[in-house]
Amino acid sequence: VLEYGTSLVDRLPIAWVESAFGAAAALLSPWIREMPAYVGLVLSVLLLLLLDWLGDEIARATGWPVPGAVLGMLLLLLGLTVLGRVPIALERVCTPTLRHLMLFLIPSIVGATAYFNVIEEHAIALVLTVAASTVLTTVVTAFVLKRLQRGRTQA
Amino acid sequence: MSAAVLWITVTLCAYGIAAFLYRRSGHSTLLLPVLVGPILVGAVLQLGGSDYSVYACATAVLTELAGPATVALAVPLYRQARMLGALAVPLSAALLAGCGTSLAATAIIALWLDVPLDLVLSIAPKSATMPLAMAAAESVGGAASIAALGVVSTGLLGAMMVGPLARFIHHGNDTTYGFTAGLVAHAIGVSSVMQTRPGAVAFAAVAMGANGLTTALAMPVLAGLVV
Repeated sequence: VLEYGTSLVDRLPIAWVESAFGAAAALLSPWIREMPAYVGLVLSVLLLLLLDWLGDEIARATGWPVPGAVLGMLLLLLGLTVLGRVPIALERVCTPTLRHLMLFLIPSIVGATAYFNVIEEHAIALVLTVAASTVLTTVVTAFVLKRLQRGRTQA
Repeated sequence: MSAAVLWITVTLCAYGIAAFLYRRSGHSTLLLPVLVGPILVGAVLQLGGSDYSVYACATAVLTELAGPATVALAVPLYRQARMLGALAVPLSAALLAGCGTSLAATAIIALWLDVPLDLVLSIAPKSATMPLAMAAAESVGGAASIAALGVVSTGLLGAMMVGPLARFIHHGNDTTYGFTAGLVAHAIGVSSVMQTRPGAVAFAAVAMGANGLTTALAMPVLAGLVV
């Protein structure tokens, strides 16, 4: 029995979630095979929207400092792992969506530059900081990965 | 409504032109679509004398769709799950090293250049994804708007530099390139990996998510150290 004041997500054993996903997939799969192709595409789009929304809701309800989209991504990863394969319709929606991921970022990138006047006074120092620390972070990350990947599986 | 149609069309055209130029230039780093696309939109806004707030309202739908598009990254993650598991140790070590370097280098260089403390804390989470960085900066007394500016400039710069630098350090390795791009340049890095080397996008997605969270968790520690 769930007590009030404890979060549902905290108390839900991961096995329950997995078997719920598995049962849903088993129940739906014969029906899904009979559908015309576009229904699968529409359902896939709806699934992505639903998981994004669900991730936002979980983040808000639990107060975790995680973007909802990242939680949604983890939920979909969990679902795919339980299902054991990527449905063709989902693949056909995700591939073009990801290829054009950058399109969805353009408004935010344009938007951030509108704040440029705020830092005018320290602009040069900040530009130098961003440039130097970005180069340093790139070099350190790539170097650590190179050293530690020796003798392991190569890409 | 007509504003939405107009500005979404402008954004689509800018994106199309940027992608076209990138392909025609033989994938030149200087012509990365993440850089050219926003510049073209900015130019149209300037020429038309339009305010950014109008543009932001009109393109809210596109920004909303960034969420479901991020969810779609689960598909490449699932495909590369075994590879990611096999490399869990090197990837975690690189995550801690990269995240630590990013926060420490930003704080030390900025303080050395006499940048005021609230500005330092605002730009420190600059390698995290935008929503995380904005929240993390605000939670320690920084400004979300400056955090957004730091995130975007790091993303653009990172997306341009990671390719050549990672190739120089670890030539042609997909794991190193993808993971470094996602760690340094968050969503902008992931989207540019998608355009340059789609096979490496799972590593970029993992790095983006993991570094975002690690940065958010480490920000209060950094704030405690520098204040």
